[in-house]
Amino acid sequence: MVQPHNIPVQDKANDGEGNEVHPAYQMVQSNKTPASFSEPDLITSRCCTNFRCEGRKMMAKAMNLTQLIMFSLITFQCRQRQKMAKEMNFTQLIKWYQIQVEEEANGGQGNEFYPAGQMVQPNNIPVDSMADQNNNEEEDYAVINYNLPKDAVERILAGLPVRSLLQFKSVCKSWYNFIKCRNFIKIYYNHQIPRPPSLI
Amino acid sequence: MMSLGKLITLKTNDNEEFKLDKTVAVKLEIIKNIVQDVDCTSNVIPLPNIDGKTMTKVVKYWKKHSEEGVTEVQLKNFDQDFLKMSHSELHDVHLAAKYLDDNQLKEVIIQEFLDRIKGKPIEEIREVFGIVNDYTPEEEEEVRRENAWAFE
Repeated sequence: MVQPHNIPVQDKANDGEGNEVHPAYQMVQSNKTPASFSEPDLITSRCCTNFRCEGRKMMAKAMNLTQLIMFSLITFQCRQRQKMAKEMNFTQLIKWYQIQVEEEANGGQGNEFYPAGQMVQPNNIPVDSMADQNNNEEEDYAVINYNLPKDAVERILAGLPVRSLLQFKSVCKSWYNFIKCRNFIKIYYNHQIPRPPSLI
Repeated sequence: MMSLGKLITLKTNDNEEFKLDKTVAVKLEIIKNIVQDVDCTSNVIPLPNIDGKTMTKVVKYWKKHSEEGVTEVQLKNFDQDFLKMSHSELHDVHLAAKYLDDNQLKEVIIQEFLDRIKGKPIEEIREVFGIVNDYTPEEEEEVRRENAWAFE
């Protein structure tokens, strides 16, 4: 498997634009659901729906977030794309993936899985949904009540594998909000990018 | 300015005093700043946020880590022993390290917290962090279902 290396994932992370299998327009756009989908939610929900095969589920569980994204990207349903994806490295994959998302978003011409006719056009997405979402997240961040200082909780959680993070959502409500909060996800991405051992 | 004497006294909020060699104490930014700012003819630095019990541990850690000729292995063994404390004591030491701006000690404790929670059931995580479960059983079930594959 190609090892991710020094890639500014946080810049390239999917902001819920949808993907090849589930284009953005097919997602329900409300203030509560997919518009506020954070990246791990998006990825894990895809893992749950896409990885029907037990072996893949097992593999996904053992991965960190970056690997998981890559793995998700490779699970294209079309064989030819699978083959193409496998030959690319991580950077290429992300680029390729983003180009596809853009094409779908701009052209609205559909793709091999969802023809244009099935797509809902994005006109009815509330313009201010992003703004609302940001405000909510700010609040979420503020109301968290810690026994440890926030930065310590951040550092501790950032060192955990995705699977533990998802489990820890059920520790208490403030952790749930914290883990799915966009700010934390950014920190998590940064932390999970491999660094030379001397810096750790 | 820095030549007032060889020892610096740190005084905790329960009036316990710790005498430290200046060369040990000024390694910490915060102590250095206080020493420079305050006219400390008495050389006593008050630590209003830290109690004696916690400070004893912190000082023990500093002393060991500034010993001359101490080997990596010895330090590793010392750290292992040092970290054998209850969850709440570990919290206190972490807060003290944060207050004293000692990044090395902070890192050590965060790593210990990580080791304590890795692969542990949710109930134990709550215990480690002193968190009260504020979910209703239905809500908790819902969250678990949401992330069911992570629990398999």
